[in-house]
Amino acid sequence: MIFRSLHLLPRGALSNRLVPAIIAVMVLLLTLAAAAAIGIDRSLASFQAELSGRYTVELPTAEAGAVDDETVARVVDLLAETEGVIAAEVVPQPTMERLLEPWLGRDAAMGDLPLPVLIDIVATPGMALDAAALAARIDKLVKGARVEAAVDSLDEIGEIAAAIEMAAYAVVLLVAFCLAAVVVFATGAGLATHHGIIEIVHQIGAHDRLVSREFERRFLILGFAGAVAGGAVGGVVVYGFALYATSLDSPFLPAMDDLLQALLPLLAIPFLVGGLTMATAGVTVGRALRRLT
Amino acid sequence: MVRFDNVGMRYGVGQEVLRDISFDLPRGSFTYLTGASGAGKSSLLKLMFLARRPSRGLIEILGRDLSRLSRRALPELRRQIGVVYQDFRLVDHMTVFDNVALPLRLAGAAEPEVRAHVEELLDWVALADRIGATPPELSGGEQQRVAIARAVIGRPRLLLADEPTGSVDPDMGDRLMHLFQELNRIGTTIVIATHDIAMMERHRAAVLRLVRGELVVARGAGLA
Repeated sequence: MIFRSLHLLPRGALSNRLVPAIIAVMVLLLTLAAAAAIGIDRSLASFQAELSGRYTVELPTAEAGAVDDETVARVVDLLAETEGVIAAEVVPQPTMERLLEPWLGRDAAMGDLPLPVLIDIVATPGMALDAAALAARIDKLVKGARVEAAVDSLDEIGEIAAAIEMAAYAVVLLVAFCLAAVVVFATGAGLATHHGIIEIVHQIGAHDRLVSREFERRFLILGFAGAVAGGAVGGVVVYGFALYATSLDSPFLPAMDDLLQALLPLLAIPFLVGGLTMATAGVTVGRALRRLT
Repeated sequence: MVRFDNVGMRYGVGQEVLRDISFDLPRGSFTYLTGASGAGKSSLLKLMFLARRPSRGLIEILGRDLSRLSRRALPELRRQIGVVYQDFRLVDHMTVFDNVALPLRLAGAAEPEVRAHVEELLDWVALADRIGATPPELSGGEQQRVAIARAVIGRPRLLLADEPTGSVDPDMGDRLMHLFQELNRIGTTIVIATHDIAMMERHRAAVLRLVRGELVVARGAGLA
């Protein structure tokens, strides 16, 4: 029905290149903002998935070598017997040195430092360990032992990521609002330009809906064309970022397939923008027509 | 058919351009609306073709009280009223055919029916050979005939014409008047605003005469 037209408006009316060009730029920004929000969300989820089920036991030492190997082995045995623990491994000395190297330097005498003994625990997927209870049990073997869930360290990063994600979605809304404002402005200009025609058909007995549909149809086409162009450029940019991110081969970044799947809803943007421009034009024209007798 | 009772009209907050207008045009009447420039003829026509609302008084058009009519019901009523504007008001990007077909298409008529009616009427107003032209390509007289054809194509129950023969030669003027009379004979109520005394003499009918916004003469068959 929306495509049936009486051609009340001249061919090419409202279709100067500026409107679709503005819509294309808006959609490009909208796509990038939405992709950023989705990308942050997926990365955080991937990060959380990677760290969930991982715990670290810290056995403090007042001086270097204070906790002997036998005690460490007993702690590892205790952990291995704990329900829900799949693996418990002492973090090897070279790994510790590599982790501390950025702070202490390559040539630091690590052996003289009172470094804690760290034991990595992998828990059964989907099962959360009671870190406090576990720490209490280990404390009987080594005073001051601590158990930390790795995912706890993500709390602050998660909050920052959530704030950035919200900001990105706010940009999406802002761009959508600007898009609607552009359409309102362009529709108003179209109404002013073609006021004579509108008045005639109104006087001949055209319903408001029929006149609105003429504008809706034009803006659907303009909006869709602009959105496809902007969305295509945005898609290329987003795909480029996705390729770069996956090339980093970081376990904390989502896999390419997962990322692309998460970005799939962005394909709906041209249709949504087409619908938004159409609806905005229809409402604007409807309000203007109601001012006629 | 058309009844005005103590009608006044003003634009914005200005003085009334029409004052205490009362008349009753029966169904099937043929009436001239005359008066000097600025007397209020166009304003009176605007009220009759529902382009304006009165500032006071009662208006009934085709038996419908306008004060009780919702905005939603106006298009249906407008489709029963044909209007010939003094400035024609044709749609410039549409062909002669499409301009004349517009009221039928708005009313949802089938395309074969539209084609048959429009071609017959354009033949009648001697524009069959200009069917594909657009208004800017037509002379003033041709545009006026297109405007008339558009006004009558839907067989309106009420036809309002503002100086409908002002831009055509006397022969074509008489031909158009015969068209109006034919429509009148099949029941269309006709109101023609004109300065053309000679035409009013040749084709005699009832007269409404306005002077400075007031109706001073209402004479002729059927007028109340």
